[in-house]
Amino acid sequence: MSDDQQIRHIAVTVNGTRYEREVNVRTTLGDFLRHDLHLTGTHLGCEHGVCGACTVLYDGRAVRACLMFAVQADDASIVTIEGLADRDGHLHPLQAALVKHHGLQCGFCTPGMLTTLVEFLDMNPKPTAEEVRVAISGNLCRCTGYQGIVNAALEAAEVMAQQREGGR
Amino acid sequence: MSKIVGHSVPRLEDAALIKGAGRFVDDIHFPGMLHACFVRSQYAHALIEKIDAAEALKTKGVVAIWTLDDILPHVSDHLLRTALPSPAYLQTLDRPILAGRETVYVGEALAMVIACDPYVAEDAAEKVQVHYQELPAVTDIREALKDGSPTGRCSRLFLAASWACSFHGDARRCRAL
Repeated sequence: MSDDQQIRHIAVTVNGTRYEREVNVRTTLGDFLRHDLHLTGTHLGCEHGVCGACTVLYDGRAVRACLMFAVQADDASIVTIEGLADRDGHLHPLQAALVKHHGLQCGFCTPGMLTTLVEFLDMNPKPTAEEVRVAISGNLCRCTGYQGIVNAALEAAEVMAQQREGGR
Repeated sequence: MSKIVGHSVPRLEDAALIKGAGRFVDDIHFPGMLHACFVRSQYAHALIEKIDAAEALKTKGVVAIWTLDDILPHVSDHLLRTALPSPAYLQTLDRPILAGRETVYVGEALAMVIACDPYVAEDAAEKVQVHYQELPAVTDIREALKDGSPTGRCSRLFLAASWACSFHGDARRCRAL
């Protein structure tokens, strides 16, 4: 490490757990999650904002963890792929639907697909297939051809709507 | 009865991957592990006259900077096998693990920087000075077909790496069989 590095103290909530850490100002949020917190479910692909694999939820909004610094997450609440299943380990409807519809093969893009679609379905609970395709247009998948991912998102939207109905 | 044919078979790996609990190479950490960053070619085709790593080696935290010459004494083969044997290939496509005297595409790895931290490795890679002699490159397939067009490597006689193979016949006869 160079002597002119600058260290900041941050407090960040990740998947419901509060962490306080000393971080280098140039450490990206992605590296902070993976290296400092050992949450390796978030994947770094291109490291310049193109592939979408590193997408996480920052106060509910989908952001590229490779394009943000860890210090920018001070006081924020982050959700990663590790935080999508509930406390009992039940999968989020999107996770269950991706598995059912062969929406993943190697699994590298999966964390970014999930977090992107969680935000999207939050904003658009009844999307069309076309709208889903636009929503994941910033997430590259080299395995599936996207059809399974789109089918999974549409089914998850239905399941989540039923859950909301049942919860009334 | 088969348990596989005629059934939808769940993938064994999905349970971990879907929860972010897979293990990819970059997820593996050992105490004292070092990190590498590659110095890459800025030219589509060039001779490499010199790689000067002296300044980069002074970066605190840098352990080593290797070029092909540094690696050659320690390996049995310096080529990456990139294609299965096929009569369609006119010339070998195997490429060196690091470029030696000649680089043949932008982004080709020229040197490997090893450091205590990935950020330090990237810093040092920026400081490695590569002296190039730029050579002509061809970026258009029609230009590539012309006599005297630049070749992918100076040692090659032509650019084409393979011939496309096609077969002609009577499709109706095939169906009859």
